[in-house]
Amino acid sequence: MTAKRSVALTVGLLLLSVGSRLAGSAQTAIPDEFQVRAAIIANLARFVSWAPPKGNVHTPMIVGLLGSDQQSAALEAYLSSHTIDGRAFQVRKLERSDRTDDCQIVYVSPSEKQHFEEIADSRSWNGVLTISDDRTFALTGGIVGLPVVGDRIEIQINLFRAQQNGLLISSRLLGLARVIRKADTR
Amino acid sequence: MKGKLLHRQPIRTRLIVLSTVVAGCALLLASMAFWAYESVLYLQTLERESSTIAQMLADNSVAALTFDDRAAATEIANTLRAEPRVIKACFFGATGTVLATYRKGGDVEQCPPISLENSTHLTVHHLLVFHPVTLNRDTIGSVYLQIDLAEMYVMWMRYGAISALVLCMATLFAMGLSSKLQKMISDPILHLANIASQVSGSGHYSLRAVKTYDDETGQLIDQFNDMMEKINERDTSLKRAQDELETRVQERTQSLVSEIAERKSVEQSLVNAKIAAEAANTAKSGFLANMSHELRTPLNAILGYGEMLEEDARSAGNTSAATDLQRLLFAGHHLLDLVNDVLDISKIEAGALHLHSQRVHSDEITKEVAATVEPLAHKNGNRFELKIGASEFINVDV
Repeated sequence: MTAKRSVALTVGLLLLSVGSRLAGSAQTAIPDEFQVRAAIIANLARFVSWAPPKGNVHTPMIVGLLGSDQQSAALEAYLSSHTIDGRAFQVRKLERSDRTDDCQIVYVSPSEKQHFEEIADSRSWNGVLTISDDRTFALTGGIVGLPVVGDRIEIQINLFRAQQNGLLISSRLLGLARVIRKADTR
Repeated sequence: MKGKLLHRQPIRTRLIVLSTVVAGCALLLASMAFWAYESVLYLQTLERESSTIAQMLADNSVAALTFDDRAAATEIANTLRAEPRVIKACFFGATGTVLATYRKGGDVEQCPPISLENSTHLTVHHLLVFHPVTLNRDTIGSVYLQIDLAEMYVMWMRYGAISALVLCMATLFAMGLSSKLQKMISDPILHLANIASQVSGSGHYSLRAVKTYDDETGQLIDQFNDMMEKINERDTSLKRAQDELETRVQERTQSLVSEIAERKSVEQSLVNAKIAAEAANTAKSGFLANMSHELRTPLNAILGYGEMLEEDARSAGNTSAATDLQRLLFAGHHLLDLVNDVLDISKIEAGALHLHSQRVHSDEITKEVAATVEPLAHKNGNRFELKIGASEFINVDV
């Protein structure tokens, strides 16, 4: 059953799918974990519906980056050169005090996880898909966690939090993910 | 060959074969039509079902293909175990990468090149289905299915076996039924044929066929009987005429025989008359020959003594007696010539005259003829002139 709950993404495969897309950019041609995760984050948006809808198909999707590290840099590079279903991304670097409720997606760096846990309940996250690569993110107030398990990146989804934030997540995605249905376990 | 074989068969057999073949052909055609319909229907259904399966697989594998999740894609592919007709399946990512394969029974074979079109292709053994995987109108991959047609062939075999069985039974049934029903047609014809052969065998034109049905065979029997009636009449009159003719021929023969006998007797009497005439002629010729022969003997004596007397008178200088004697000799020689001529005629008639061809000069013979003819001419007061042209040698009988 773990196979169903994890995404089998090997480096060799990404050489074909993601690496080819990045080959044109200035970055390294060999896709690493960060680029794979960036591709996953971009594709996650295709399986999530915002209710009420934020923006429309003609406006860019706003992605907030909380904290700065290698992953956020890779994500920024990936999103700037990709669109999802004809919709572009607009990356916004956030400070701790910045508003987050006008973003569709907020990526939380592991370094900011502590801070996120503090602000998770204190402000409105309505309509925001929170994502981090931290192993416990989905259990501690976040919605999507993308930790490395074994040789794969596992998709963890906290369905309770997603519903709380007014997000509908496609059952197709849930079929691949490890789903957490309860509230935080902090 | 078969047609000729059938031509020699009796009408009963031909009628049975006819009915059986017609029934068999009709059933065969119906079976083939039904088979074709079943096959088309099966293929249409299979195509529709395959499309549905491919559609469901495509829908289920959207997330797996989006995130390139091989394990999830393989798991979805393995759900095809529930559908035994699918023997092979391939899941392609957008770039044509094979993410997962399914092969009934285990071994994984090569997948074909990706096609992003929704297509079905029928080969001899398989139905090949490509179905695109789309997410928000974006094609992110494709599902390929290879459906086995073995089931259809099994169905064909089963259908063929059942059809053959039904065909055999129906043909047997048709044969049995037609062997009963053909009697309606064949019985009157056979009866007619039987009567006809009896008539031709025995010559009894008084035989009649019995009419059973009021159809064409009934008409045929009526006409046959009618014809027999006429033949019978003609036969009788012919016999009568023949008898009369025989009598007349006998009479005529009799009269001819007597006529011939009469002619023969006349002929015989003619022959006798001819023989008699010939005998008379021979007698006449014999008489002439003998007579002339006998006449010459005394004439030679007269001539011999005449010449002696003439020589004596001449030597005695009695010219008047010599001249008379000369005339006597001349007449005697003339008589001898006449007697010789008579002898010649009798020789000619007896066929005993022989010509002795001799070469003489024409002047000589002319002078002799002139010497003979001149006195005769003078005697009657005629003038005799002799004019001779170029003389030469000729062949004559002396």
